[in-house]
Amino acid sequence: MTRARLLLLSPTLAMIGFFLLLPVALMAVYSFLSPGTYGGVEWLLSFDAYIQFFFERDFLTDELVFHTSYLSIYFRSFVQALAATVICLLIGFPTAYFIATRPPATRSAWVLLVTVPYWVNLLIRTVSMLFVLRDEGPLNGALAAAGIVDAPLRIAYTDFAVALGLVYSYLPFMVLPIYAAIERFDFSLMEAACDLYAGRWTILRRIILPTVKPGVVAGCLLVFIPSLGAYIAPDLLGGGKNLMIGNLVALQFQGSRNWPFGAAAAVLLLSAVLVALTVLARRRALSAAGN
Amino acid sequence: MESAQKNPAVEIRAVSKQFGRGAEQVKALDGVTLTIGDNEFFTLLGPSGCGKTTLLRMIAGFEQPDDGGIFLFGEDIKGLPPHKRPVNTVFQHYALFPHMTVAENVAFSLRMLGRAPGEIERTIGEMLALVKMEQFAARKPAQLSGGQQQRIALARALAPRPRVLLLDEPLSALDLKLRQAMRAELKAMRQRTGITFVFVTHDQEEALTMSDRIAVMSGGRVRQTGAPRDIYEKPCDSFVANFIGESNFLTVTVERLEQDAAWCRLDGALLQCSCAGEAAAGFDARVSIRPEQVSFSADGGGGPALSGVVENLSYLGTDTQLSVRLGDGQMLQARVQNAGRERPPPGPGQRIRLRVNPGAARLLAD
Repeated sequence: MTRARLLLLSPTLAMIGFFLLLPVALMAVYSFLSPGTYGGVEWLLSFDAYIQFFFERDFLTDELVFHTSYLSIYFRSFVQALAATVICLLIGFPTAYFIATRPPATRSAWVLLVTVPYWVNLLIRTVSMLFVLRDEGPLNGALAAAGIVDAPLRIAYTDFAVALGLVYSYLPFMVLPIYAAIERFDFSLMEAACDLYAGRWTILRRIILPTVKPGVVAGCLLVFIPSLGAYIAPDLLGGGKNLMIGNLVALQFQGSRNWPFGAAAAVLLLSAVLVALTVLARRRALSAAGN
Repeated sequence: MESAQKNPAVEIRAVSKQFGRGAEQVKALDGVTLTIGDNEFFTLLGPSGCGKTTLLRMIAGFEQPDDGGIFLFGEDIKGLPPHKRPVNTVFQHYALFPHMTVAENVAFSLRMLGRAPGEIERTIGEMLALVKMEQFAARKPAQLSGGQQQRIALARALAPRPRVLLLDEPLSALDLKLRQAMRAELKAMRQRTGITFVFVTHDQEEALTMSDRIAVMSGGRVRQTGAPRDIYEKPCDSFVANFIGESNFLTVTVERLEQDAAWCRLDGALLQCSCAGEAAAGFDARVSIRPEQVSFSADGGGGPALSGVVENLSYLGTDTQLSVRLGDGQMLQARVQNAGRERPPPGPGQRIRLRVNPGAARLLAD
């Protein structure tokens, strides 16, 4: 690497070093320390945080018993994130397709519209969504007025509301990479497939999807990963009843004042995501080598 | 063409098509009627924007005519979607499926048609052998050269044994040498497969070398249909004469009309012309004369002849082209072969006598 190149890269390297690697390393270190009484950590090596995650101490026999309370939070987060990803894909793909098939002059206007919700702070957007969904909100009002429901439908503070919140928050992350992939798609391939006796669905499944797959994978990752660690949507729309990973971590740093445990929960999430991504990347490298 | 009348593969009847709306409206096709015979190599030739590709896409089913009918072996196919028509297309930029191997590309239509696995395997082998690409079956399109992709596109379109094969300027992306080699191959392939080929091109040389018949199009209309020789030697109007090959366009006076010849006066000399349409004696008309139909001699030599002064001389390798100003001021290009000529051609400023081969001058309809 030349000196000039190093100089040009240094701001980026400094950013990544100070604001990404250092905090993550700090968190990893904290997870192996003992909790301080009023938050913070005592510099004493301890595996308690990880033990606490998987086991609970029977208060009579003092034995370690495997428990799944925290694992179930992870599982629920996984299911919620997965649901949000699938819904985003179902809504995002047709949206991206629609935008990509508009005349080139109007496409950028449509892309701009997709990003409009981002001009408003996420917290405010989520709170306003809560106002829409709550028992006395306009949604239930409209349903009651239309005579569809007698009693208000319980939507706010449910897993469904959390899923809706996640979809609302991360939908553009699904639309944009898929849009980019479809925009590059050569539509004469569609005509060729049609000419070679393929119907609509076959064209979608055998021609379009395989060609735009990288965009779809990117979109799914961009929705799934932040959904897995989401904090605001589950906290506000789920009413903090059914914890997700983000809430569990936040709770340890605020209310419980158990920093090592919060750090351990975050490290476990990070490890799970890293392992999953490595497997995915490996598989893709293998299939690329196979071609 | 006798067979063309008896058993037409494709019949286009008074087809019109407009694109756009309001002021931007463009007439892509304007009352086109054509009959393409079974087993023909038929070429739609014309400059870009003449409607040839629109017409091809209509036969494929990608465009619908506003008016008129399209018949395939006597059956009305108007309204049938592309995947329900027994025709296949070789696309201009091939449109091979990038995520599939060569073999998968060729097999695609067969899988869609639900053919038996054994038959599919056999057809892949046959098609790849036909285009001499057997050893590339496992490659992806991106790993092939332009010429190889072209062959695969051809194999893929021929695999389901369409009744008519449509080719949309398939040679335009290839370099000159490859293009010339592919012309002969395409022609041979048409004969071997016995499938009707409808070929679209703007390249007159391609059209002349490959086709059984050519339809020359411009402005959404068919100007002339005929065998390559007829189109070249007996153009019906100045567009056709000008678009295909080179020609002299001269103003003459019609003197006398016979059965299928007209005697016209050009700068004092009487020319025997063939007629493209109605002509009336005593009026001025336009004739087209191919430069190679004009011969010259420095001294004259018997018979009525034109005379003029050489203004310019271009050496073209096989030929030499002379620009001669006639006595009445009109310019005439004459082209003579360089091979076998003993004396050097006349130089600029020299007066020469010219002779037009009898019947080679074409009295144009416009």
